[in-house]
Amino acid sequence: MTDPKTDPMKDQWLPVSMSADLGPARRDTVVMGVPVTIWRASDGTARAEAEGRTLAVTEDYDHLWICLGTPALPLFDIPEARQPGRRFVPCGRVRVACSPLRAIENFLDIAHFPFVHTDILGAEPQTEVTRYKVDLRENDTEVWATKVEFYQPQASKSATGGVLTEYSYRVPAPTVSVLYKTCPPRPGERDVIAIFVQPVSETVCDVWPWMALFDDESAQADLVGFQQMIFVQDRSILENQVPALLPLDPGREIPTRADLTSVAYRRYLKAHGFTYGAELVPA
Amino acid sequence: MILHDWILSPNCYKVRLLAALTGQPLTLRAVNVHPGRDHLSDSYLALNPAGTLPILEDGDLVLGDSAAILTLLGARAGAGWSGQTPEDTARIAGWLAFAQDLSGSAGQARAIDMIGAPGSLPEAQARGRAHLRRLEQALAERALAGGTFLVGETPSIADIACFPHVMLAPDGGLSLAPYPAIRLWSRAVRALPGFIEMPGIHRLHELSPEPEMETELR
Amino acid sequence: MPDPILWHPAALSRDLPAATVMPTACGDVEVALWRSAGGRVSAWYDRCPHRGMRLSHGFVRGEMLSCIYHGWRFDTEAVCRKIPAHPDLTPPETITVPRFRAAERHGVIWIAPRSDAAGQGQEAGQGQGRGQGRGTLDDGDPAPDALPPLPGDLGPLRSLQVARDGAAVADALGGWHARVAGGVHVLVQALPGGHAALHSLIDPEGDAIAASRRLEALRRDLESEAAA
Repeated sequence: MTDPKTDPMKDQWLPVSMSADLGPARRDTVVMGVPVTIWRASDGTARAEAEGRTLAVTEDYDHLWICLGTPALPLFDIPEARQPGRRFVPCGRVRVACSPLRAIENFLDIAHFPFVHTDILGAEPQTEVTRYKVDLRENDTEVWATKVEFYQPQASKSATGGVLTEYSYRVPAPTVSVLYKTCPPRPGERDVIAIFVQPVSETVCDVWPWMALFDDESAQADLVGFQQMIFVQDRSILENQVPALLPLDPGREIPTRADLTSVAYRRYLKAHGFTYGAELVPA
Repeated sequence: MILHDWILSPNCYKVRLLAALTGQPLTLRAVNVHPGRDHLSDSYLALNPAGTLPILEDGDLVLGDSAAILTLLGARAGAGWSGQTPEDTARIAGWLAFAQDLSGSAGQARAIDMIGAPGSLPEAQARGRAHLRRLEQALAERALAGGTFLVGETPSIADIACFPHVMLAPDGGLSLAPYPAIRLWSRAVRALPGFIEMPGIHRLHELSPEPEMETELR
Repeated sequence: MPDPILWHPAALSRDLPAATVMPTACGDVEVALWRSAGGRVSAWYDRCPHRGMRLSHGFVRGEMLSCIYHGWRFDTEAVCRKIPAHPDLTPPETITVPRFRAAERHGVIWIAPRSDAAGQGQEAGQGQGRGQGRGTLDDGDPAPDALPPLPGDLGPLRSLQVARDGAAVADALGGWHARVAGGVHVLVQALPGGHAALHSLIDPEGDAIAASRRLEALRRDLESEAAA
C-alpha cells in the first residue's frame, strides 16, 4: 500500500464536489482515506477542513477542488473552457470500486468502444485502432495523445449517424483526463469532455464527469444522460479488473500499439512517483 | 406515449425494455435526476406526487409507477405478456410485488453504492441477497419442471419487472456468481428478439457474427 | 514427490450450456469456466492478460472465448488468436491464459490445477484438503479413483451457495461427497471467502421439487449452525 502522507498525490488538486451542491451545511467526504469536511461560508467562499487543518481550496470547471498538502502547481488550465458560447455540463458523481488510476486509464482507451459502448462509440467490424501520436508536454507534467481516430456509430447526443471521429486526450494531473473530440455542429471547434477523479481510497474513487460543449439545441438532461450512459457502461469493467490496483510493472499486463496512451500514462505516474492506487510490487 | 425517463433507472428501463420487446413506440423525455434532482421539481411533483420515475403519459392517462405501466403495456401487447389464465395473472401479480421488494433491496444497494443515496449499504445488500436466493430457488424449480421464464411458457411482465434489478445487482456489490438458474434465465431474457440494453447490462456479443464471417457473406 | 492433483466439482453440466461462460473457483483462485459452441469445456484463470479484466464477463463465439473489454479472442488451448484493435496482426503465441484441467463426469464439471507450463507453474488452486479425489491419467483426465463413486443414472438437481467454509460444510455433511434424504447426492466445492457450493444430483425416482426445498432447508441449517 502507498502511504497517503508521503505520496505526491497529496499535493495535487483533487475534486470533492460540484460547486452547485456546496451550501452552508457542512458535508463529509473522504480523500485518500482522510475524512474531509466541506462547506460554503457566508461570504460565498468554499471551505475545507481535515484533521483539524484548513485545506487549500479552489473552484473551477463547476467543481470544488481541495489539496491535502501543499499545492504543487496551480489548478490545470482548460483554455477552451474560457471560450464564449461554451455550455457547461457537470454530470454528478459516480462511485466506482476501482483504483482512481484505472478509471483514468480506461478513459484514455478507445479500443474498448465496440465491446463496451456498442453501437454508440464503436461497433464491430470497425474495431481497428490506427497509429496515433503520444507525447509529454508542459515540462513532462502532461501526457497528450493526438490524431486518435475511430469510427463511431453515434459519437454524441447530437450525432445522427456514423462518423470517423478524431480525438485528442490530455492528462493534466494524475487523476484528471480531458478529451477533445470532433464537434459535429461546429466543424472548426472541439467538444471538451473530462473526468475529474476523487481518490477516496486506493481502490475506490468518485468520478465527476464534466463537459464544455458547443450545443445550443440539446436539453441538459439529454446531455447529462448521454454522458452517464457512457460512464456507467464502463463501471462494470472497472470493478472487474484484477488486480484492483493499476500495475506499473510492465511485465504484469500486455500492451499493444493501441495502448500507447496507457503506456505513457503509466510511465508518467512512475516518473512522478504517483503510486497511490498503483501496484508497486508484482504479485 | 411519453415516458419521462432516466437512463440509469432500472425502473425506467423496465418500461423501455417491455416497449421494445412488444413493439410499442415510446417518446422518451430525459429527466436530469442525478445530479439535477429535476424529478422533484414542482412540475414533476404535479405530474407524480410520489416524486419518482418512470412516469408514463398516454393522453389523459398518467401512471407514476413501473408496475402499473408494465401492466398497461403488457395488457396491450397480449400474447401472454400479462398471463393467459387467472392463475397466471395472479402469479404475475406476485412477481410484480416481488420486483418492488427488489427495488428496495438490490436497487437501494446500487443507489447507495453508485450515487451516494442515503441508507445502509450492508443492510440493503443483506436484503438483496435474500431476495436473489428466493428468485434463484423459484427459477431453479421452474427449470426442473421444464420452464424457462417465471410464469407460463413465454416471457411475461413478471420477467421484465424482475430482470433489471437482478442484472444490476453487481452495481450494488451483490455478485450474481452464486445463482446458476438466474444466469440461465437472464440469458434467455437477453436473447429475446428486440431486447435492448441499459448501462451496466452488456450486449450479448455472442449473438453477433464474427466480423470476418460477416465480410465473407457480403 | 509432487502432491497428487485434487479434482474440485465446479458446476453441473446442465448449468453451462454451449457457448456460455461462468465464474467459479479452484481453491482460492478465481476461474472462468466456459463451453465452446462445439461443447468443449475449459477452465482458465479468470483474468485477461491484456488489462486484467475477468474473462468470466466475456462471450463465446464458436470455439473462442473473447474478453468483454477489448474483444481479445482465445482458442480452447487459451492462446490469443485475435486482437480486434489490430485486425491484421497475428498475435504472438506467447499471449496465453493460465489453464486448469477440466473434465465432465456424471453430469458434473470437475476442475483441477495443473503443474505444467499451461498452468504456468501456479499451484495456488490446490488449496488444502479441499475437493473430492486425487490423481490424473497421462492424458490429464481424472484417474478412475479420483472422483467419488456416483451411480450412473443420476440427474442434475441444483447448485447452491452456502455462506460457510467448505471444510466446515464437508465436516457437517460427513464428507465432500454426501448422500442426503430423497436420493440426493451432494458434492461440496470450497469457494474463496469462506463460502461453499453444494452441487447436487438426484436419482431418477426422486421428487426434484421436494429435493430442492430440502436443500434450501439444509442450507439454512448449515448457515445457522455457523452463526450459533
